[in-house]
Amino acid sequence: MKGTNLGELEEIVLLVVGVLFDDAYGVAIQEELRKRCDRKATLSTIHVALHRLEEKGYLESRLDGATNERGGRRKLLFRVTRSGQKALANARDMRNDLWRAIPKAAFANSLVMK
Amino acid sequence: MSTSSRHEPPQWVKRFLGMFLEPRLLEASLGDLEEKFRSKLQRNTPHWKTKLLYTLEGLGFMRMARRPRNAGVQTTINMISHTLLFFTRLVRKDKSYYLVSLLGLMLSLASFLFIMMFINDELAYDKFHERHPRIFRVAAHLKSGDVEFNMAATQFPAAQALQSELPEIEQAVRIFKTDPMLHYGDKKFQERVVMADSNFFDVFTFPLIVGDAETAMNEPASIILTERAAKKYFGDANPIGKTLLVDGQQPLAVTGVMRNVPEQSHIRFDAVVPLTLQLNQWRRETGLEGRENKWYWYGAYTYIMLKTGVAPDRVRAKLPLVVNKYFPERFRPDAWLELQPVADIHLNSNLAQELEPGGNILYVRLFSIVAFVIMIVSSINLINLSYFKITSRTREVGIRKFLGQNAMRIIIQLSIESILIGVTAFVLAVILCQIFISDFNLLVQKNLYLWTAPNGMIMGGLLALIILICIVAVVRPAIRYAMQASSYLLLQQYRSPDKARLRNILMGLQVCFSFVLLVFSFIISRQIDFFRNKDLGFDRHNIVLVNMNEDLWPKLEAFKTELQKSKDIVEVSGGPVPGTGCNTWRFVPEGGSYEKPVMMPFAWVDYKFLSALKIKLLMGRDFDPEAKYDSAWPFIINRRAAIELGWLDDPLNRTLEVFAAGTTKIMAKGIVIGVIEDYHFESLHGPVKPIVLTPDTGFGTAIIRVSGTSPESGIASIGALWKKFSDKPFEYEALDRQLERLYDKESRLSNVILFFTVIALYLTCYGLFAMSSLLFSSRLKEVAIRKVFGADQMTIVRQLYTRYAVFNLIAIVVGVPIAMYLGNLWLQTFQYRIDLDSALFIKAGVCILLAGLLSVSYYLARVAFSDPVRFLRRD
Repeated sequence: MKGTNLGELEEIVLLVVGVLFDDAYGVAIQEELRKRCDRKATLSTIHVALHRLEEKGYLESRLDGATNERGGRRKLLFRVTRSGQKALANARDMRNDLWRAIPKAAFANSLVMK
Repeated sequence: MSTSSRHEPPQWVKRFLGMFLEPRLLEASLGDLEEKFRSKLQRNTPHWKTKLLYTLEGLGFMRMARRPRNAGVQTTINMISHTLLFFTRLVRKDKSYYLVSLLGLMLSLASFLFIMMFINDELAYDKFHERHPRIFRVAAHLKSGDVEFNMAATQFPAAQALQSELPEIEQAVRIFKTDPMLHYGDKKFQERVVMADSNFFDVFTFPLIVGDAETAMNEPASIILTERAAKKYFGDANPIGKTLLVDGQQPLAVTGVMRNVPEQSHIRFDAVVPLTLQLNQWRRETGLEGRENKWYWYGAYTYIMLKTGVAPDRVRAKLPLVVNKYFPERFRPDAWLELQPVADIHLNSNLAQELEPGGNILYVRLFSIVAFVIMIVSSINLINLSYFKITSRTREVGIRKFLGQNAMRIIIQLSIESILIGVTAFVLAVILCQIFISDFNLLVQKNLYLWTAPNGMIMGGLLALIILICIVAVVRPAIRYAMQASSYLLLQQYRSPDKARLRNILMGLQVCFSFVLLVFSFIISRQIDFFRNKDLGFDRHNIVLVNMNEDLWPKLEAFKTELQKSKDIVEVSGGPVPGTGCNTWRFVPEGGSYEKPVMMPFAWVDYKFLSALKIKLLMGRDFDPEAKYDSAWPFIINRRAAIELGWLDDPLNRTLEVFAAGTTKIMAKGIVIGVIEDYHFESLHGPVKPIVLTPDTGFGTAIIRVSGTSPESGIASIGALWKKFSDKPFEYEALDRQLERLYDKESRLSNVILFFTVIALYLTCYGLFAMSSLLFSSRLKEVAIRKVFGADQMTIVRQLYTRYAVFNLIAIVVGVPIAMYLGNLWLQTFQYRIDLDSALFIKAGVCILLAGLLSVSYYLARVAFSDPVRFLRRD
């Protein structure tokens, strides 16, 4: 099914939303992405990803937490839903399965196996 | 707070996003953006960078603009895309119509653009001088008998005198122009050098790239090169302090490099040298009585810069004071000075000794008229054709209305379609100009470039104009149709009441304008033919001009004798080449006053001058190398001079004395031995002046008459002989070709006008052609019925033609006085000119009439020879 796949950026954003737990909104996510994943993304790119994840039902959002720095505007705060968690777990399981299926000889001389 | 409030995020981004984002997303995104903005500012990121980042990131949110908040915006987007789609379908359906009208519009826009660029360039001359409104050139006028001498230059002391008499003058600067050879090592070029007073750079805006304008002219032996000249001698090396040799002797130190002289300057030069250098040299050569102290020699171009706020008329009023105080007494009553604004010189000044051949305000006016006509003609095409195009779409408009589109939308839809054609034509026109600009430059002898700021303004204006015309063209019929009830429009028979009168007037205007242009271009080419063929008082054919050089000057006699031996050479002489003019000297006739000399051109010619050029001797005899005249010089004068001196009845053996140039000393006394018929020793732009000839065996240019039967072998034998005397390459020029070059400007510009006339004519014919297709198709049924009732085909053809013929005739008759007025205006500028005769008008009229009738013939024939059954069966 097309609508439920997780894109690479989407997966990371979903994870970061989990990391930030109750304070996941645009700027915070951008900052976290930069710090943890060394990834530069514009605010709109992040919002596009968030919007898509919400459409797929992996995220839920609410408006809250206005501050002065934001010119009195509220944040769009995100939270991972149950199905979001399931999607993340699926993605991880799939990867683990794939890792396990790689024959030892294939990566024998590579750094990965050290 | 105060620092952060100074740097607010750009408001327009907020407003822009506000139009396109959902409220929830809008609040979140603006909040995020602002938070980031402030934190960046706090981390001392430069605020321009912060703002830029805000803008870029903000605009990134546009990809989330799913559904505009404003329904109107959405509708507009839909409407535009619908219009575009619909338009492409229309074009596909009627390719030839849209292609041809696009081409016509493109041609007219490109012509308009070219002409405007030309005009703009002409008008911009010398405006680059920052202080140009205050800079004036002093021109000198002098009258001697009936002959006026109008000179661009004044006497050398005039600048000093003006400055001391008139406190309104801030600066006065003199320019003396020479063309010496400059040497640097083995590099040797002839350059155009202006020798100027040291305040040259204070008055004129010629910025220095290297060196200091204040001090560069301090030392007399210095030179300031233009960038181009500096590059020629020194390549990329620093030229400052290097030494150039003038004519192989005088060393000059380079003290500065200036930017190249702009194209739009009436002074062109490669280098500036302080005038003091020249003045000192004259002082050395002639003692204290150096030429620069004399009020006789008009050799210095004098420019003055007025103090700020001084009205030039106040200074003009005081100029006679200077004349009366300083000019030699005998000149005072008949001499006056004139102030010419420097920016007017190029177009409005046409004096003797101009620094550069100027433009002509008349051509600027004529070109504007041509541009105007082309624009009008193509606008009329647009208006007439759009009208019919919209008429043919009655049913479409009806359906649109029936489906609920309101009148405003329909009008907008039709306007956008029209504008699309206009804008496309404009873009194509700009591309066309870019492609052909080098050819146009060749034609008008300019260096125009499309992408300059002033040309950008022209293009912007033109784009606005064409959009306006496109809207005007459709708005009237569009409103008429859009306001009708759909039930009327859907009726098959519906035709809006036809305003044929306005349309006919517009088409008449086109024909009338084309006629005027055509007559005008006929007049121009006739006048130029006239120049080419007018009897000049000498025989210009089979004359070969050869410039002598330093190898030949010592052996001139031997060269001449050898030449005479060839059977293909009729006569060998030398002297001033007709067409180039002669210097003016001061003569005192016998019994005349030394205080009031007569100014007349004076020329030294070789003995066979008259017979070589076949100038007619009226009285007396030709120069004879054997004859002796005691100490007197033999003079031959022309008829004009005899009239001028009042000797027409009995001129022979009278004496004339001539002053040495620039002094009060008598150089020689002469005796008149002959009178010749007037011949045009200057160009035909002015009247024949008096002239005095005296024999001299040395000359700079040999005038050789070769035999008319085999001119080539004559030239070949000169070439063969030349090789024996000089190792330089043999170069020659035919006199008739050189004379034609005097009228180069006229013939070039007439070609330009002819070219654009053809375009205007094409546009008119195309308009008539397209209109005839539309007009005749409405008469198909009428013709069919008539045929059924037995009308003869020729009668129908005659009937259909008559209307067009009458219509064109009226337009032509209206055009006659306009053409006459314009033609006379142009002809007035020539001393010798053609008469406007009716043949010219008839020729142009017939051309237009034929072209007009031919354009309508195709559709006319289709209607007249149509099968009546086909058109009657339809209903």
